[in-house]
Amino acid sequence: MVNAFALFLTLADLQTAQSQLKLASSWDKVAPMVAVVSSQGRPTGLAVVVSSDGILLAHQDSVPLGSGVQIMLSGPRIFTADVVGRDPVTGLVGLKATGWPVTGRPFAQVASSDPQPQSLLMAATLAGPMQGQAARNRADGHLGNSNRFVPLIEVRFEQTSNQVAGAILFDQSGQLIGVLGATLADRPAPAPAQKSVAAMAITNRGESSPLTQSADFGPQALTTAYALGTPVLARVVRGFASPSHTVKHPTIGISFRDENGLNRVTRVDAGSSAFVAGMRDGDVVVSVGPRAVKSSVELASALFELEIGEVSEITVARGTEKVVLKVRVSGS
Amino acid sequence: MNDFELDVLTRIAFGEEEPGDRDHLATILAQHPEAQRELDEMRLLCGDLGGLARVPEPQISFARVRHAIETADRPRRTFPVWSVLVGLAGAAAAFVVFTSLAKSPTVPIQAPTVASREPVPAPVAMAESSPENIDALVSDIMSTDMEPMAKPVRSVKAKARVAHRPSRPIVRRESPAVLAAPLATEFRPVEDANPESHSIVVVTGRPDPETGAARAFESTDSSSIEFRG
Repeated sequence: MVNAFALFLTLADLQTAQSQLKLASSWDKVAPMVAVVSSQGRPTGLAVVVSSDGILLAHQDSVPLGSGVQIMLSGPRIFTADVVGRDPVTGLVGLKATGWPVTGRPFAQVASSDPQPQSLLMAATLAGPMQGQAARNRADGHLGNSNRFVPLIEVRFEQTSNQVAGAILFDQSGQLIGVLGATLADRPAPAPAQKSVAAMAITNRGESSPLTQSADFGPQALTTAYALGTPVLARVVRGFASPSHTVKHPTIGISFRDENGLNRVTRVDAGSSAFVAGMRDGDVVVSVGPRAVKSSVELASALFELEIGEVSEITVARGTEKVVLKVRVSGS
Repeated sequence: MNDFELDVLTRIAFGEEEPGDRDHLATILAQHPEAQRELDEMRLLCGDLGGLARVPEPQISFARVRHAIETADRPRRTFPVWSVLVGLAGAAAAFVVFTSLAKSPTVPIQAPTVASREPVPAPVAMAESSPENIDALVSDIMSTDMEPMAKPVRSVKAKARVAHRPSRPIVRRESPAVLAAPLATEFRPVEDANPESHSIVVVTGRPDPETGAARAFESTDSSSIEFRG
């Protein structure tokens, strides 16, 4: 009898139970900050309280276009909320709850740095909390809608069927580390019979047999997902919490791409700060300030890290000469 | 877009660009707002096709299946006295977790549906197999179009069997075992998952029907990606 019970509860179960205990503990911390967004009585996603005066942050997929929405906090406390800001670059939305303040309601603080690889994190979804793990804390990202560079956090979850868009990510101390916006599309192709069986069996025996980049970790497929890194998340939260509820990202008003290893400027927006400083289509950007940029990703990263209002010396190659331009960084 | 322009996009997306294509691309992107989306979709398709190449050749073999069947009834683990202590500790921990979760406020934890921790390492065995009929059985398994899947088991006494089942492992739903949701990464180090860690993650504007989030793909070719800044 006892032996049979021992068989059922193995050491592995104990470890995973501890893991779940941590998850429950983290959830207790963050649950009062998380709100269910609903429209016309139908839940559409989650939002997180990010200021003491009732500003909430959500992904645009969680907030339907049109009229106001309702938000429900634990208690339960139900408020109407209006969209006060949208950031087209990141796809995040700022909501303002009417009837605030709520006495003693905690709000989420953006973590001061990205989570370390392999650290555990928790994602709040409409279906409840789920546990994940940070895989990369600085993935270079390109947002297709805006062509903007952003640093991303790569996270992984074992579930694949959950609708995870707009999930709110927290670290184990309850600090906000991201809003989930994308998942890796590189999924395994349907494998013929026997192939997947063999691969799965081998993996479970601890040998290495990767089928794809994004799956075949354990018994179930793995979802690789991305959230904005904490630097840009903090910028968005600051913007929504400001009196104007607007988010501005640094820009000098150029488009560029790699061209045989050169950062070729393909377009300079008329009237932009780069245009005013004298940058021209076809220029090749060599450095931003003291930082040499050897690829379009490095250039995009360097421009991303500029501060709005600062004057940056950008060196370009134009024909056979080098030109140093003083560009005042603007925000958009 | 005309056929020529689509050909240019296709060549660039599939890494087969010809001299002059890059110049045409700039013009196409400027003239056709939908061209960028087309290009993204082609790259996505290219990535999917690349994934096919990474699928290993079938590694199941006649000898392997036979070996699995023959060894199916052997105990895979011994259980000394300490396992009893571990079991009791596990029971206590599970009880604490269960009561903790039961008290959790507002949104109930819905732990993911989880497969057992002890999946059978190979599609093995059926009850009452004998050496005489193993060959016939293996032949039958190897020739079937259906996917044989071993049921994950906890007990050494559990009878593994070959079953015709969908490709997903058998899972437990709404049982105490759902509390024991293992991280996938316990099976393989997370850094092994993505060797192209230096690649660019391109987030498209199209949602993934499974997750609802925007689809993303990885690209190691930054030359075809235009940035704004």
